[in-house]
Amino acid sequence: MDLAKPFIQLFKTPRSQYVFDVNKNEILPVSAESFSFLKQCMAGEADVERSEITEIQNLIQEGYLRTESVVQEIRHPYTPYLKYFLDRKIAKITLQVTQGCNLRCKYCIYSENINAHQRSHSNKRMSWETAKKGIDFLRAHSIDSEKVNIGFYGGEPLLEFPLIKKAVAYAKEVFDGKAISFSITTNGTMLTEEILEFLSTENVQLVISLDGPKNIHDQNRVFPDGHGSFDTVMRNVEKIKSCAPEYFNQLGFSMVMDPTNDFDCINEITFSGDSLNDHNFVAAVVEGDGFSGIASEEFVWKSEYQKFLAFMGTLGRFDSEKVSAISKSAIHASLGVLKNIKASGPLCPIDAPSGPCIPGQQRLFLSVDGRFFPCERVSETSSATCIGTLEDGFYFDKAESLLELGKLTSDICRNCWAFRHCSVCAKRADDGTSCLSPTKKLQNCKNIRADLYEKMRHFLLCDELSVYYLTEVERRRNDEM
Amino acid sequence: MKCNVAIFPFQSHTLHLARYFDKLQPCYKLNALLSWRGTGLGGRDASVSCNYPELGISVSDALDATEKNWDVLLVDLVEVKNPFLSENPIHFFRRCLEAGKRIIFFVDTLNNLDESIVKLLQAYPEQTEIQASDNSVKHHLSDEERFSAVNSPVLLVGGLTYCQDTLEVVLSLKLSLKNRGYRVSCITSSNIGQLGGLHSSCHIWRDTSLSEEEKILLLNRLARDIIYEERPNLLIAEAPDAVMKFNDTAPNGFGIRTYMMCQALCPSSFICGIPFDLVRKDIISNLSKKFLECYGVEISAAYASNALADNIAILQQQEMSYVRVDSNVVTDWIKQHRTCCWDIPVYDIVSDDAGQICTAVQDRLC
Repeated sequence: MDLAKPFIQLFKTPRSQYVFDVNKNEILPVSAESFSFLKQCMAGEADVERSEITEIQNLIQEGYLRTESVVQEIRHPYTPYLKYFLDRKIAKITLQVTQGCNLRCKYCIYSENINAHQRSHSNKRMSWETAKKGIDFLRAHSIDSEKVNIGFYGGEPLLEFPLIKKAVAYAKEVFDGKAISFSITTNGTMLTEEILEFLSTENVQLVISLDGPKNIHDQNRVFPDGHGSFDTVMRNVEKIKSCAPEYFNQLGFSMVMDPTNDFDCINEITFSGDSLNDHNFVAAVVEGDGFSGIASEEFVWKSEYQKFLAFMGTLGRFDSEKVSAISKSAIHASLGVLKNIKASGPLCPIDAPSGPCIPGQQRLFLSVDGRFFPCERVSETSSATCIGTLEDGFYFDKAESLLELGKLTSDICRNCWAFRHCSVCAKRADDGTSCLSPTKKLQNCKNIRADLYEKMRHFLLCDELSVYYLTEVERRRNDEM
Repeated sequence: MKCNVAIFPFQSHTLHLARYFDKLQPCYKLNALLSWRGTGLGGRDASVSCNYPELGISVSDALDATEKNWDVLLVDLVEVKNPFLSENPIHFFRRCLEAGKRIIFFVDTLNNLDESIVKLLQAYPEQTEIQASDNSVKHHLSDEERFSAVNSPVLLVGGLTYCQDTLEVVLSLKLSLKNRGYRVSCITSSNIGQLGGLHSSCHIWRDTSLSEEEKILLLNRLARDIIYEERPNLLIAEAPDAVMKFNDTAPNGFGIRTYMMCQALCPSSFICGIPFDLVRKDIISNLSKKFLECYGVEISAAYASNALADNIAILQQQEMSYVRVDSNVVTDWIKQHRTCCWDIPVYDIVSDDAGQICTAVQDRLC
């Protein structure tokens, strides 16, 4: 019996213990005795020759607990069809209408001090010709997409409001008969009544950057003269509420959390009395090459506690109105991952780690000067992530190299327990040079595995509930919405 | 002499009708395909919609009522209802009529016709015509007539995940069998299929006042009315939905309508459309066993579709999503995986001759 180190990951919940068989992509409940034995195997301490546990023997007979990954070659299943996805099924284009911004956020990806490999502030603006060509490009490359979205991004996109207006009008004309939606991410400082009327009339999905209450937000999100932008943003939020109450209800917030702060202080904004807790908050922890902040103890345990409350709220065991919108979003994201865990299959001899999207297909990013990138989050200063231009079309070889990210670290990936549920993408392997970096990519693995471990524990907690319970909770929540 | 016609609105599933139109239509010559601007098909060959081999007719999105190369506009009124249009198509219809064109509207039922269409029909009685799928065959059976066995071999054509070009198979089979001297009748779920001489079950599926039991009974009566009138050697029935659910994330209908159709018609043979990347001997054998259990019919032959499921989008959006690959990708795949020992023959519907499928099924059917 070869059980030196089975290709598994162990999980323990308050009620039971489980083994995640990586090759089979299945989570199995096991007895305390088997769990203990497998734990010893993983630590290299078990007397594997003397294993007489019937359950273990049965699992081995059924093909579980193999010591090696079944993956022999890393190759993405959609690589042969990449051309068709990019020629026919683009779902969204994000237009970078300007690289300029009226703020100088301290962590901003545009700031030279924080992200050396990222963009710098500049006065570059997208021309109407480029925007028009970008919209035409989307139209020509979305035959198999039932609906499309056009996003506006910056810098601060509202600096180019006339261009946005023109682009929306043109897109509505050329996409006549097709479901089209618009979205914009803004710092929220430039929302005049004219702009608001336009955005609400055109039902542009509006996301405002808001990092927390005044003392938190103003630490980083500042005007060039150094004063904070919180008061301006909140005045504009109030303006939306009074001018367009229905539109206000759809408003979303993007939050960059500085983990050196106390989580409860950040979270105060959602219970500030501005009715913001009913809104969708998408929160991420600040990152950057130069950022060296270590999460404070208060941030970690308080955010975990809020997640716990959100989890209980989701299960109907805690008043969801008292749950932080930030944590609610995190739990909903976890529940989405749970569906993926159930829906994905076992590992195959030719397989690829999950993580990279089909570059450019989901949220193609068009820079001010007409270059294509997989999404707005990747660096546009490294040629590694540039997958084409408006003039030349797609560089399929470049797009393929991003899709085949797993090949960068084949041996490590195929032997990683997070293979099927990994979330690393090209952005995480971009060190600003002309090629993706294996070293840079591997720096993410520890956090990704830790995050997945937590999500899978949530999955197991849900699974321990009655089969229909979670479905019923979801149904009720949908009914309420 | 055939009359020059245009079809509106052109969509990907209309391509199949367009491909066989001239062979199936004794009265009309297809000269134009008109679509919304948003499809992105304007100025491109219609085949691009499904990534099929070139058809030779470009799609026009100009909606020019004065265009000279067609005289009659064929309109699928069910498909015209599009919430994303800036202009009500009624204005285009009016412009066409004012320009002296004729319009034939195809609907599922004459009940609940849109008031604007009724007014148009009244204003231009000489230039307009309306054809309803629930009137495509005379009702020979009395309303008291109960469920009874369908007295003709029935061939079910269905797609594993819906978008499997079932209309393409129905039309190519009809033609191929006709050329071999067989009388073939067809029931499709496509309203405009009437143009190809097909009957439609659209009105039954869309009638929300009917119970499932009543729908089964009406389908059964429809089939028997068709057989009474046309005396076919074979009745081809197009499955109205995906023949099985895709997965728990995107359940796509569970094949409930197909089940109802099988209850009504008891098909004796089944041609199943399968995404090309799932064309493998073991998969098809297992599917066939499953269909025998749930529908009472095995797969007689399978054909590979060029619609590749977009699993990433399906996971994210929890609805079915496809991308169409080139037909030569399908051809290569079939060549690579086709073995002489397959129990169930597999065809490439675009590149293989439909006659091959006919040969595979005709002995068992006609």
